[in-house]
Amino acid sequence: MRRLHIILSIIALLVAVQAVGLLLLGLLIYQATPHDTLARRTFISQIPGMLSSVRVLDRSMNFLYRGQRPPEELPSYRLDIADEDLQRIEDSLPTELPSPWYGNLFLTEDAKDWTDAVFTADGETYDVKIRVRGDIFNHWAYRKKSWRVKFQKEHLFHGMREINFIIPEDRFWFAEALNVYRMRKFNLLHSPLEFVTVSLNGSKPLLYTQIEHWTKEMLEKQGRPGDANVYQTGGGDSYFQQWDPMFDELGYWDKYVSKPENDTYEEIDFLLTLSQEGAHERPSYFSELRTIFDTDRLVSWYVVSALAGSRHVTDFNVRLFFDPSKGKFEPLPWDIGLYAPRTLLFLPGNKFLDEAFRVPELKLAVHRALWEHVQDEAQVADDFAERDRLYALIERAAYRDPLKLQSNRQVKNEMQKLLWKIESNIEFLKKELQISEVLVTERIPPGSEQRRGLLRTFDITERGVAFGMLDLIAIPPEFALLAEQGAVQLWKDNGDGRWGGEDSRIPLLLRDEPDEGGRIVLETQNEHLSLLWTEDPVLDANGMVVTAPHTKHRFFVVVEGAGFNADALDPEVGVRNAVTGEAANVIGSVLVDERTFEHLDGAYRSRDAFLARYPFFEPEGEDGVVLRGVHILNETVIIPSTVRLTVKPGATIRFGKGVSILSYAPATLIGYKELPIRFFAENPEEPWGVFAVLNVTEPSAIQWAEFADGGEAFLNGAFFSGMVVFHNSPVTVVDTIIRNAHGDDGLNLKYVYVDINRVRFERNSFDGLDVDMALSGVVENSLFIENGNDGLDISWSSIAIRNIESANNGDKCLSVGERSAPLIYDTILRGCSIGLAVKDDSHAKVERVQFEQNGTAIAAYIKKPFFAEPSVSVLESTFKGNREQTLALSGAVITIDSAQ
Amino acid sequence: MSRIKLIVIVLLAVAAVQLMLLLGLTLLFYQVTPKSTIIQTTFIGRMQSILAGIRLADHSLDFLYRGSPPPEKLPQYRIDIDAEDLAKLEEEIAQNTDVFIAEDSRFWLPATFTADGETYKVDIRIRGDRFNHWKYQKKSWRVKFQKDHLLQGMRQVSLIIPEDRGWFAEALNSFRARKLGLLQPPMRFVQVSLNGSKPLLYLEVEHWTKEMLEKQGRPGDINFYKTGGVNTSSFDGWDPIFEDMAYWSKFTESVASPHDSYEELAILFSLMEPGAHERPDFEEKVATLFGIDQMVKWYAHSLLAGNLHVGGDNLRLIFDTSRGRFEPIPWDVFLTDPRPLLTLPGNPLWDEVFAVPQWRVAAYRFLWEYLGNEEQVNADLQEAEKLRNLIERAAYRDPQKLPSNRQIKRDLDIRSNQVKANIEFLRNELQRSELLVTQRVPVQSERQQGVGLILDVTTRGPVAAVLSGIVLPLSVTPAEQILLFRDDGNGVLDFADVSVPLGRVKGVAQDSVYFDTRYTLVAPEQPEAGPSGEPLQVPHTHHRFFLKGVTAGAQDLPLTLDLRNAVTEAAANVIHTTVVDPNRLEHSIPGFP
Repeated sequence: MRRLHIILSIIALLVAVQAVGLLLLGLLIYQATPHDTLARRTFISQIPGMLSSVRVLDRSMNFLYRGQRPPEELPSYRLDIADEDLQRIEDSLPTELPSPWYGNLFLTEDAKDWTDAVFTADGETYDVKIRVRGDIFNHWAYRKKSWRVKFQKEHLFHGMREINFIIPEDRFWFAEALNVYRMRKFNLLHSPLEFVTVSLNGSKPLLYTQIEHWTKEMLEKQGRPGDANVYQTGGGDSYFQQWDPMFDELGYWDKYVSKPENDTYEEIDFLLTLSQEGAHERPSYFSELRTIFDTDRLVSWYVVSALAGSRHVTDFNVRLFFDPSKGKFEPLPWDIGLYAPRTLLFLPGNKFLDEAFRVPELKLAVHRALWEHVQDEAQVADDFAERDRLYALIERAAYRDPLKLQSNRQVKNEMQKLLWKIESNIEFLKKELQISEVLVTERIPPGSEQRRGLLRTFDITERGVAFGMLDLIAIPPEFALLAEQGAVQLWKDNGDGRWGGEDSRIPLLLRDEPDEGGRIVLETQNEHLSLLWTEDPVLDANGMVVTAPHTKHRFFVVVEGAGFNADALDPEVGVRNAVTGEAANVIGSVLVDERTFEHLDGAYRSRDAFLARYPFFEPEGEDGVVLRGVHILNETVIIPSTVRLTVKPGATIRFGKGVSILSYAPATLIGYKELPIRFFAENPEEPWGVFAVLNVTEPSAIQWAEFADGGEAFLNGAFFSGMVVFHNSPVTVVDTIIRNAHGDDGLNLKYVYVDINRVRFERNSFDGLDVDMALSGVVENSLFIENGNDGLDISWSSIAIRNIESANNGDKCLSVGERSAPLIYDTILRGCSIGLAVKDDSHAKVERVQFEQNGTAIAAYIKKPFFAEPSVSVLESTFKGNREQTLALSGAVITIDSAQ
Repeated sequence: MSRIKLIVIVLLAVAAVQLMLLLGLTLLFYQVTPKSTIIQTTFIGRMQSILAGIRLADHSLDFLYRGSPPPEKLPQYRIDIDAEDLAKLEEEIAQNTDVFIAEDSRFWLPATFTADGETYKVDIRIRGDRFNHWKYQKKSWRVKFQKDHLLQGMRQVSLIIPEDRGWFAEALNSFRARKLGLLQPPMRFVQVSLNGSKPLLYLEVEHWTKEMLEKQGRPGDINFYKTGGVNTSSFDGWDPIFEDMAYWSKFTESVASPHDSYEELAILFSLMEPGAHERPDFEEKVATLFGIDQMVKWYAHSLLAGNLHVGGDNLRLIFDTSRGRFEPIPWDVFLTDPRPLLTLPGNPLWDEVFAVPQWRVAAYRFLWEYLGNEEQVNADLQEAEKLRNLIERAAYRDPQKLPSNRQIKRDLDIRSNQVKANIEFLRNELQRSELLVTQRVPVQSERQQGVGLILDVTTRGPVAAVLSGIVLPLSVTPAEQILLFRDDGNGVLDFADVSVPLGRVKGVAQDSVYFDTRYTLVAPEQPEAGPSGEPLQVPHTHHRFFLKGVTAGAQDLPLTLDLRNAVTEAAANVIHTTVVDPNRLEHSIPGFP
């Protein structure tokens, strides 16, 4: 028996575990699976009465909800319809989709069946016609339906010919009434709307939203001409689409009210031309729009819609009134609804609105009106008070409504969410409109543009949400006089990217006060031209915003007159949020110096183009260009990679100040001993630039040449520190003189096999020869005399140095750095501060070298702390007259064998 | 009694079966439901203790994993941070609910760093944009040494949680990059004891500094461009860096240019614009600003790793002012499952550059050569194995890591397999060159121009082919001179078409003609691609050649063409050859003009 107990206990435990497990699993599935999937696609929908049982269960708690006491009594009506008529209406309602293309049961024209009824209000009885209304099934598929009631012409109800009783949940309970309240604040036209209760065939009161239908009478009561066109859109006309694409085709449009004897659609026809994609780019677009549309009210409509987070004004909710007295459309906001906040980056919702609000001025007006509203505490408090009043007005009636579809739990839940949405939309808009992000790229134009007076280009990328405004430019006080004279100008690019006559000049006003840095400030005076608007955001295939736009705007800063130093202008731009007036958020800014790559195309132009540009070069062979004779170069020449350069014996090139030759082609400069090639400065007091060969695979050669009085250069993004330079371009230099260079090096070789023989490096301001990252090679039989810094400087190079003499140089006769491992032999190092310096993980082997009259014959040390210790191994060398023979620091090792 | 017993047994059996079903159903639900849905939309996400319990249970089996002994000892560091400072950091981190790091959390803390018995005063902060680097107990760190007291010559090092780099994947990529001559920061695995903890496994990478560049033999005073910022804008997590230059910044700055400016980037942006590769000077400009060989290797290197992770956020580019060129630094390449070669390369620069057929072919040829070199491939596989062995035991013994040892082993196995899978996949893909050929009898007007045969070759990819030769029966070669012209794209023979150099070997029954394949490359265009660059359908790219000096009628066709895979040089796969004689339309359609 005890065993049985244990077994039963185990079973009970198992059952309990399973029960808990099942419950948890059920909860998991319920939470993880979309509810419509559960209801429609699973067996749940197949179980008879399952869903209705859940609903009954839910409704059984309705009695717990009482609601607030309404601040005023709702109007009460009574509607009596014969049972057989009601049944006929019920029978005529659609039970199947009109076509497979439709997403919902839809009220097609044949189902709009009018029947007789008796309407009673305030003790008065009216014979009326009645039918169900509303396109979608929620209006009529359930017990409580939306109705349209038509009164007899001679027996109107409170002056109304037709009214709609709309189930209030379709209009978001009290939200649409709040929208209408806001519309009135913004002077927008809307049908009279109020909440009423209706007793249908003696039922308990049913809560409805009553809206007067679009009739001539309604218009006249609102102070509008009644004999006018009121256009409507909707759907259900086509087999292929539930909602008609109204802006694609005129024929989908219809009217509620027609101008007498004039049932034509030319107004809409014109509107459709304004709705075409890209129409807003027409120069006359905004004028056309203003001609045919009351744009102030259009803006107000969008504001009310945005306050409700609306995404409901697509093609089918468009209502337009064409006022014949003004010759303009007036929007009739309709069924705006209330939604959770969403970014203002979204497009408004239909082709016309999308296009119209691509006009920056209109969108800005919307944002400003919104900002004004959400910032105005009195306005917001007034909105909230109305919201609370409306909520209190209907809550109890809604709970007591016996025919409504929802349970009271659902009603309360929905209403609470609406309360939250109203508040959160306002808070969200406040935050959104404070976001105005810009990225700024400042460009220093190339020399050719500067000579035209263009000293800066600003590319400002606006991301939104609120537009930016180029507010000011600040420039150094040296430009004050020019600014006062109007010589400092700001221009807005017309879209072609270049400053020219078709661009627009933005008026500037010199502010009395300089900025904090003492710069003078020029404020822009034209809002239209200074506006940094945004285009559409990036959207996915469903029209959802993927990210904010990047809309570029270009401005030019021009200084009239000649010869201004673009670097000295150094302007700063000020950008503010065009809506809030606060400083915009500059999330990134960079400077681009367009001078750097001004000549990049010279690197690869064709030989013909090169020869046309530089006719003093001559063609030779299939791809050669030749320079011979005497020339004075006053502008830098770029030799393209498409040619081969040959400089003929006896050629003498005199360079202007800072002028260089940069070759992307192999260069052959071979003169004769008696007829050397010479590269000199035109004026020795004004150093020329460099002769540089860059990134050329084929070898170059220099022999019997002399280079003097050059300097350094920064060309096409490459920096050349030597007067003669071969970077990543193999070369042999023989029988040549390199002297009086004013830059860092006389000759600089990088990333090449080194082949230097019988070259004299003399009186260069800093280093005579600089070898970096050599693959290998040799420097031999050469002289390094009286250079300002080092005679020979090598880094990252393992080369042989033999039979050279380096003497009387300002710093080191021979400098070895950055992991170099040279073999130095049969050499004289004399009269320098340091004869041989070995640094930074370099390891030099020295054989048969004469160290004479140096400050220190050999020094070894770490210069850059991230390198390891260097070492020097000396064999069979001589030391004479040096103040100090060796100096080893930072753990460096110098070993000397067989020294004399 | 026996009846009761039987009932009890049946009940037990039913309960057991139901339990099994319940468990099975739960497992099924777990497998079919996205984990993010379970965490974010169900009660599970609100019960952190359940998740913690699952993790704990998973970790409780950690002791079962030992790993093989490492081939060498990893460098050992010790970092000591004041407990109060650490608490302050944790407090700051706790306030951040975003997936990206908040700027406020990137503050430096004083710390003591010990290595090889030497002690360094350092500053330390968390590093890494995404939460996996800093949200959990084990964090990624950046350590800054004093200028006059560097760690083995390093000014700043990053200690990165190794799982973020696919455990050994990044180290393997770095090994490969160095083999290919591509610049890499020094990188190795180390173990760190934090405030006396047991050793934590990290990937140590020297940070992007001037000193790092100089040690690698590059100029230090150059522009080193940086991407990958987060939350700069209200609208994006990762900065949309290809939208605007102003999202970019620099690790180091050039001293050569007069200002701290970005004109190099401006040029790069112009090269990355969609369709830029069609501009007349595109190739020349790219060749001026990049070493093409380096560019090819950079892309090939990425393909070896599955090519998924080199979007914009992982671009590291220096502009070497000594060469006037960009130099790429492969970074955070990661390792993924193989992707078809038709997938777009991965970032706008590559998309444009490798839209140029000869550069794409160059990359594939390089890969083919690399993969065909068994020694090379074995070296990679051995290195992968070595790196895995180096870290496996240390990873298992790491007490602060987030994943369990089960997860680590699984991940290591996946990575090991991916290394091999990518190699095999690429070998197979590179052999895939599919073609459709149409041989057309010319119409009267074309015959008057001397055209004897029109060859339409449609390439489907992924690999280009070359028209290497053609066999001409003597019956169709009355002329002494055979000429081949490549159509310039307009479909008709004219002066813009290029004459293809050729050689002819005469035979008894037929002549063989060989073409200079530099002129006959038939490459696929880039396919239409989805958001991740995946091909939506294979391209069909048409190429036309005009053959002069033959008189082939439909009855003589098709002629034998020698079409070869431009990469492997094996025969391309000609899916179908069709003969078209438009002249016959005159007979079959009487009204044909």
